[in-house]
Amino acid sequence: MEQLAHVGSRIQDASENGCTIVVADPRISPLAPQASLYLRPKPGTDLAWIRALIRTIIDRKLFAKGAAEKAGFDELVRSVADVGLDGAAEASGVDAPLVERAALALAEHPSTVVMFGLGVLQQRESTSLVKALADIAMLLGGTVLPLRGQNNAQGAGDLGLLHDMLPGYAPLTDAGARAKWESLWRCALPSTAGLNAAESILACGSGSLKALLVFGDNVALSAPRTTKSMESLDNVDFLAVADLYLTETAQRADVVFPACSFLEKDGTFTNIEGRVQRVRKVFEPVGQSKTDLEIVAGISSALGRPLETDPRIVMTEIAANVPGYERVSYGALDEAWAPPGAGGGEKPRFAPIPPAGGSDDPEYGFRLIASRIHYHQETLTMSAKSTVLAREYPETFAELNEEDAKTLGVRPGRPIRISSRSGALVRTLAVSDAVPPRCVNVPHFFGGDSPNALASYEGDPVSGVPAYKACPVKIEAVK
Amino acid sequence: MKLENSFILAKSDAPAFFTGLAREMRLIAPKKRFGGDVIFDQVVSPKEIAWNYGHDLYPPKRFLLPHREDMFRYRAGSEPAIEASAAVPRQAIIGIRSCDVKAIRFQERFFGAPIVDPYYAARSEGTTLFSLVCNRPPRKDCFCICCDAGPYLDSGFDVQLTDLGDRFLYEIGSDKGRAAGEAGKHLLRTVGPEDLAIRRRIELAADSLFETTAYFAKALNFISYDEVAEAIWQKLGSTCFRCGACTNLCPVCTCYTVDDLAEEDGSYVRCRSWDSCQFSGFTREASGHNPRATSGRRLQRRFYHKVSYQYVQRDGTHGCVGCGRCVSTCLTNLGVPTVLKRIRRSMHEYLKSEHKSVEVR
Repeated sequence: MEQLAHVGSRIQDASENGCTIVVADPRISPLAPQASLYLRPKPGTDLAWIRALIRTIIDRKLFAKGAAEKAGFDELVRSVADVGLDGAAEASGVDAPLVERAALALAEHPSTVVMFGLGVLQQRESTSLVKALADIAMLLGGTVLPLRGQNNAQGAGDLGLLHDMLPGYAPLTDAGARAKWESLWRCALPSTAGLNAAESILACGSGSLKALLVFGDNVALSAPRTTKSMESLDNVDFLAVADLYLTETAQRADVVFPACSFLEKDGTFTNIEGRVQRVRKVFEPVGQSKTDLEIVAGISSALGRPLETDPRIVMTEIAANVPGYERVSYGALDEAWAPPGAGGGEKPRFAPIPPAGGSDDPEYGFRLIASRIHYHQETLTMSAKSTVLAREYPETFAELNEEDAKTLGVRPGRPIRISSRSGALVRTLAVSDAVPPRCVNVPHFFGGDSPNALASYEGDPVSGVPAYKACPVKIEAVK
Repeated sequence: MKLENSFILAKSDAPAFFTGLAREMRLIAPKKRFGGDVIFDQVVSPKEIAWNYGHDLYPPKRFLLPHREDMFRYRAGSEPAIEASAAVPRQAIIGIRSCDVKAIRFQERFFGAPIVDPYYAARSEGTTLFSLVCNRPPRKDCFCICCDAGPYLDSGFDVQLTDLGDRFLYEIGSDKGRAAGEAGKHLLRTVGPEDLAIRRRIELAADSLFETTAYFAKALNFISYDEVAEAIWQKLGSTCFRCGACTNLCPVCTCYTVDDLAEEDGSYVRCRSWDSCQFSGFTREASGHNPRATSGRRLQRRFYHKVSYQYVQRDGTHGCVGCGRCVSTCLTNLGVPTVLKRIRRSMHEYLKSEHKSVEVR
């Protein structure tokens, strides 16, 4: 809501204009006043109630006209045949009548837009969850809008900044796609996927990775199990970091490339709609800083392969070769914003949604809600430098609801220890009725004091993204 | 307007006139950027001035109250020392709109009494304002007429320019304005009856062209007598994103915070930077208690300061000049006229309803 204000304000406007808004969030968020219906699933159990929602839409025949004729519909029906509405309610804490009301509310007021944030992508079943949400949109004849906090996350994905994909989401294992890029780049490409971000850190720790190049990411704080991640980064033979600031990651580096900010370079960002937007240099790079493109090209030249440093020419190569970017050029962007790319469009078929695995850990009976605080972004590399923003939070804290605080015998204003099988941290307790029972809300905070420290490297097997959310934890008072 | 203070400056003579002025002070003026964005910035040549610029979003108040201003530098320890910051430049702000002139005069009063703020005073003493009248509303959000802040000023300007086609009507409003015109005096011609007739026509047309329905009066009453129901403030505040754009872009807002920033050489810079009453930390007390802990309370604070009689009495005018920047930038409809309208409407409903319930739209 507030985190993506340009989307949040449109949700507010839609609500003012009578749009039906169904929100699912364990915590009461600032979206609450706008919500027609508020579901509060237990963290990490989204797949249970979403499968129940799909089942309800199918059973009650609430889907849009023509949806049943689309490919994959029968498989989807079969895959949710095992869903018991009461069982789903028990697992997720979202009552069956509430799921039914949500299904009716959404089906009665087409068209539907399904939006989801990063929380969905950082759970154990994130790939199934995303497929399920896309299925719901498809059943109801609507669209999906994944919300990303970073302005060019979409562009980075489109251009193949992934461990297993080429530009345009062609898998690295696809020989035909590989051949196309090999001839264009005049080089040989590996035929299997590389290491993903989390695996790279682990490989640094085990010594199987000898060198790591990090661009604009404070992985020392953002990777799971902070202590272990920092040890891993200390262990790698050679670490090079390109960043605007001397972050906790850059401080560990053998070489630091000072990068310049978005105000000091030309380029484009692809936003969450898939719309390519131009960014323009307004002043020369400060000091010896360089653009990311110049840094990459410089390293490549030193390795014997000179690269283009003019972003305009790079865009010509992108437009000629990456699906969805065919119409993009700096000339056209000078005239008007580009329309959303062809990355959208109708999904070819429904995906079957298998049930979730996993079980509770009796020793770690609380669920972690890893959240953001309003005025800070990511590892706070930039936002904490503003004294006015930093002033908003005089101390770090974690939130429990009043009942749980009473049962545990912990008092607001006093320190509590929150521990998981991967790590532990100490926070001052605040009591908030926005937090559901048996959950603890731990916002990201300064200098490595991040709930990521509690997460493990395990996560969704398909995406490889560690499960930062809904991690089982236990709470004790600090004596 | 006084005839003896009115002249004509041909547009063809304007570059020469301002080049002469540039020898005495730096020129700040609207400059067009890529895509039509306009920003006030220093111009090297008067040719860079975008005379037909409309309105800018980032108010020129920052040339008197910078976003971040170093007050002094000091060193602690065995050899403590204080070093004043560099002297401020003399400057002319050319093409500033009437609303922004009025806002700067408000700030001058605020920083001028009861204690004179030396940093603001130094900048304001060295600044001459050449305001440019809006012949028509540059933006749909403008409502200066409701705040007695435009499109024409009858006082408060140093020089007031009106675009008469191929020439400017050049009105001098202060000694500072008179002094700034000395160097280019030979380029100022006598004003003719036709020029005054055009000015009169523009002034008369303003009433029909500009937004005049912001209609402060009733909402102002409710706010001044503290009659607005708590539930209304809370409801209005519930949509606020707490971004601070309304106050940071307000040409009238004066709030700042002071920090001591450590330098690499061991010295410190005491620096002040813009602050906002819309941030929760702004009023949080040392004990942790916050008298304005919710967005609703902070919104209430903002509107008391902007429009209640108590402040109007103290400051001589309300704290809004109708520039419309809060309307343009607020993502959730919490600009001044919008909120006043919402208060007025919901208060009428609230007073009518038996159970004093309220719905804010």
